[in-house]
Amino acid sequence: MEVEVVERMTDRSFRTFYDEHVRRVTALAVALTTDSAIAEDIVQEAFLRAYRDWDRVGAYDDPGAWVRRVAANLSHSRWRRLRSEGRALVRLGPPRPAPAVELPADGAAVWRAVRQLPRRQAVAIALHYVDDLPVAEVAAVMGISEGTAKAHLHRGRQRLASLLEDEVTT
Amino acid sequence: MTNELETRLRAAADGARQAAASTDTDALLDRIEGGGRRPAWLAPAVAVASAALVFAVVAVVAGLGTPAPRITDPAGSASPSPADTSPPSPEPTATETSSGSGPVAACSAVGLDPAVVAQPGLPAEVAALRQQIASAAASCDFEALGRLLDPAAFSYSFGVDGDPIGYWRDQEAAGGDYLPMHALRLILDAPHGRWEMASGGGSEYWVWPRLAVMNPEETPRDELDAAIAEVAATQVHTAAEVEEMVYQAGGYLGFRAQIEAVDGQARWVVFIAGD
Repeated sequence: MEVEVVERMTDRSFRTFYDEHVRRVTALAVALTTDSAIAEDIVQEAFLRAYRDWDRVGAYDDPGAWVRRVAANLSHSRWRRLRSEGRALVRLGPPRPAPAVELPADGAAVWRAVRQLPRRQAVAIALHYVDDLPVAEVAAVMGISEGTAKAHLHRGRQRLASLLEDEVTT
Repeated sequence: MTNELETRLRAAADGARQAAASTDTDALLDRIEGGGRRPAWLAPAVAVASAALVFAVVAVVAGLGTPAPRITDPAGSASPSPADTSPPSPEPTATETSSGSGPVAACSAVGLDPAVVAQPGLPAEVAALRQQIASAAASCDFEALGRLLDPAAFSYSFGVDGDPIGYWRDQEAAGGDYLPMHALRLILDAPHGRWEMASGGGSEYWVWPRLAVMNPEETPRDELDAAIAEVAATQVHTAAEVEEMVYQAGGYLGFRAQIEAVDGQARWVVFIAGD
């Protein structure tokens, strides 16, 4: 009986965590991949890992930071892998359904430019703007010092300005 | 441009949030609680990829879990093998398996794919060791990494020696521009190079990325540019950083990993940045 109670509490706790973070983590993944279908796959996997290991992840000081970091790293590796899988799909024939929701054109252009940044700068920018996190929390999610996070944001914005300017002039 | 950039970033962030708002989070939660499943549109590609990998799995698995630093070619041959494709790697636990730092998410590589990108042409024992290193790095499994190297004969930082694991743990904990497990996992996906001692001795060295074994003065510009792009594609270093190294400092100074192969055995000997 006691075990059942604990299990139910753990389950409820995960659901609370999920409800609290899923939209923001999804937005982060959308920004970092510019593809809502891929983003959904990433979010599913990030939360699935949390769910499978909830006893441990739920005990972290900030499981929300953990799931964001997983999603950010998956956005990097999964994007690369899915691109090649997508190429295979094209060869195989079955069409991939269009994402349910497209990003606005200018937003997609901005996030495509962000994806050209060094990965850590891109993640810092996405966390700061999409997730609305202050620098200290960006640093906490990325596991780096506040000064380093600030530097990533600064360099990222500088480079992004240049990339978007190039886009306008070409 | 600064204000304009802020405005565009804020608007782009709104767009991402709106796209996220349309996600059916209840359905997503059902899939998560059901153990997760891949989107239907991925299934055909995954099935084909899985079938293509079956051949590779056996040789790689033969190399997994070997406690000694040296990896023996299960086929007893140093000939190139197609074994270096994605093995059935365990899911990364993303829980800093051996960091020993308590319940704090401190692994820079969490979430990165533990399976390396296929690189035909590697001897089987080298391919197996490369995969083991990548898997351990992806989960910051320092104990596993420790089993894959001989600390007394391993290069990991200039000016210090003897404790690569402690060094990497410290670097991960400190947090900086370059975190070693993240860099290690990603650099192993760059195309490899190979060299051997001019004096012979039977050893050959396999290096990631191949740019690390190129002499800029003897390599055609287009080939150098291609190798620079390969490193940039890993996102360990930016193209601009690597170009600066190669064209201004005279050679690649970034992260590189190296495995020595001799007599059908492989030994991980280097993971270092600098010259």
